[in-house]
Amino acid sequence: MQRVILLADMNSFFASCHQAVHPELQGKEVIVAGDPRKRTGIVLAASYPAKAKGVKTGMPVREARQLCPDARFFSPDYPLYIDFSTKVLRVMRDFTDLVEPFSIDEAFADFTGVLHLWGPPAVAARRLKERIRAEVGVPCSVGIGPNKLIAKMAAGLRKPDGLTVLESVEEFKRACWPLPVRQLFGIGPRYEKHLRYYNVRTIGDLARFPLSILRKRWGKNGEMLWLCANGIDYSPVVPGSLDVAKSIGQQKTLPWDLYGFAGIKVVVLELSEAVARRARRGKYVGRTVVLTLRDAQLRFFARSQSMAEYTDLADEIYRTACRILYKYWDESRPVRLVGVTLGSLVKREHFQCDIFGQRMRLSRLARACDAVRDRFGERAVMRGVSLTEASINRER
Amino acid sequence: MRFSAQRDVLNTAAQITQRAVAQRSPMPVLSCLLFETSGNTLTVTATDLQFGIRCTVPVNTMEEGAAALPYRHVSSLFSRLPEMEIDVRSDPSDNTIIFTYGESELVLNGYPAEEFPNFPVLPQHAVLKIKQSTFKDMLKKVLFAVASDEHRPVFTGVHMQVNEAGTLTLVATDTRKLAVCEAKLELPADRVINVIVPGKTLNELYKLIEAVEAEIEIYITENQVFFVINNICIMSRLIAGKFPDYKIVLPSRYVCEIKAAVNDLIEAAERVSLLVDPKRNVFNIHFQNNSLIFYFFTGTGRIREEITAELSGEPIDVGFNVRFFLELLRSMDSEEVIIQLSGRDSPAMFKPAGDDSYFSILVPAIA
Repeated sequence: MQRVILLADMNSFFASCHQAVHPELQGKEVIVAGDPRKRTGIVLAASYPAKAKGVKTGMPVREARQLCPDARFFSPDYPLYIDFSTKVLRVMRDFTDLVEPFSIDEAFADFTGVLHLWGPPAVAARRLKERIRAEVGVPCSVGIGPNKLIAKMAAGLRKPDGLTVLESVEEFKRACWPLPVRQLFGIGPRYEKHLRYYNVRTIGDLARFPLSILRKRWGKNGEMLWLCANGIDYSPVVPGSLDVAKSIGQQKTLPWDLYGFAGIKVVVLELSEAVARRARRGKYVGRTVVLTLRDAQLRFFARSQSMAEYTDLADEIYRTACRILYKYWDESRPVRLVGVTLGSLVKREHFQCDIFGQRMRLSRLARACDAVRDRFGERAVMRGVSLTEASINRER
Repeated sequence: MRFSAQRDVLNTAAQITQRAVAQRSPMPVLSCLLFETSGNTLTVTATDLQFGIRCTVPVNTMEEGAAALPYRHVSSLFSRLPEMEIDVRSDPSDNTIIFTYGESELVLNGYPAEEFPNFPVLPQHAVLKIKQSTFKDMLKKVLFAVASDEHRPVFTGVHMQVNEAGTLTLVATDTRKLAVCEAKLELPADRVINVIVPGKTLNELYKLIEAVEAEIEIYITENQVFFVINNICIMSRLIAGKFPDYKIVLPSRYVCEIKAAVNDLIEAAERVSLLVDPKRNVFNIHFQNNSLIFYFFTGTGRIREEITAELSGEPIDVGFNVRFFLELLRSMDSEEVIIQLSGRDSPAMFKPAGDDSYFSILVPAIA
């Protein structure tokens, strides 16, 4: 049976959320960006009028200000975005139970079994768009296709506020094959560059390219790309796919470069504490720690190490991250960004105690601190190192 | 250097010593076996500086000397030479060794023997002598508890202690499981011993010693330990640091004691482990009157095993890591085990029935 899959993609989502909160900004230039004084000054999202003036995601704030001097700037407000994202999903779940969040601003929905309730695909999609607009207040582009890939490609064809139906693979070929290969889902600048050597420039070129050569060059991934170019995708819409976290990470661009292990360790401890708190809140334990660092030249470093036992304790995450730091990092390199991630997560069903009772004590201590923070705020209990110079939690 | 010996003699010496060769060392000479002749004995040595093995065998020496040869080639050569008297001759001018067997000869390029590090000198007196069979048995009972990660170095070793009363105690733990094994020495030891021997060394030793009556001699210096078995000498550095006192964590009382057949428990736990998710590895045991109940369910299926057992005290329900549980039970060589529990999150004591010289502890996993 032909499936009817829908993808809803919120346009300029972060900017749209702020516009929804401030209705007077509808249709105006709105830019969401970090704070240049904290050196996080890049554009995260821009409304369409701002985009029309040349503002792009990832652009330094200074440049955006030159292009768009009258724009209203906002600092990112993640709780707000999560709230809006949840509201959008709630509306979509009124139409069908098969809704799969794909990212904070995109979600798939399988309409195959509910068309008798909502009418033909285009009608159903229009109803959905209208309800999201009316009840949440953000615009979205909707794509419809016989599978997730085509729905996703269709949604990208008309932005903002578009609605595109590609009923069959043939329609997908007509609409998408002339497009540059870069626009295919899964193709980034690297693939684009490599494919150019094969004179593959459009999605159609890739679809007609011999599969055997792609498979030889990139293995499974090459085969995957070829299938995508041909509009073939059998993956189902799985509602819970994002419900189970795979990893929990926290990273921070520092207000100034840090030199030396002592300072880096302070930040690593504070991030470990934050990661452990999130793990405990989600009832997860993890066994792998990834330490991410970026130096002043923006060179990127990431290494991981596994622990003997699953954990949700800051001290154990911190100790493992420090081992990576001492083993692989050259102390003379200035550090601009620090990240700590806890991976190989599983739901916390059991907790292995140790013979000296130390894990038990640390676990009780962590839970007690969590209880205090739940009641009096995150800053109610802090590590002593948060009073030192390198701290990222210190009030300045 | 020139000597002749039977192939088997050479092969045995090379097979024993090559365990200590440094596999990936920046010093190429450490990937060699050192051959030295003195009188009518050949000494073969290998070391990675932390750990070394030396083996002496009788040969017919024609000329004394030394040579260092890459272990990979020497040991495979010895196993492929014909079974006959082999003539071995070194040419120090270009560090080669010439093996002559029958009408054939093979020349191996080696390293200058003087570059090979000196093997530490054995102290004059052994501090301890113990039957090989006894020591092997003790090692088997504690080695499983040694920590495999380098997180805390003292736990990668076995704590070896001899007290004033002449009791030898071996202790190992990775903080989740602990094993303690004691032996009353028949010959009183010369002095009190308190050292941490790397688990890796003892694992190699375990493979080398045999279950025989002959004695193993143990020598200790400030930072090294030597084990001498007949013609083999094993050297290892000691782990610096203080091993924590295990006695303070022993439960002083227990609420429940159970006696069950070791084999029944092992078989049941092995069946449970088929279903256990390797990421979680934890199953529950319900200790109740006259029986133990293992129960467990996952996405794969579910299992309930009931085993007859004698219980005294209160019934209790405890979660264990199934892998550790099996390791503990497999180290018991008695038919029955006594398990003492003092709570859901307190260490559980495992003792072989009728044997006071050994016990192990497993810390539960709590829900």
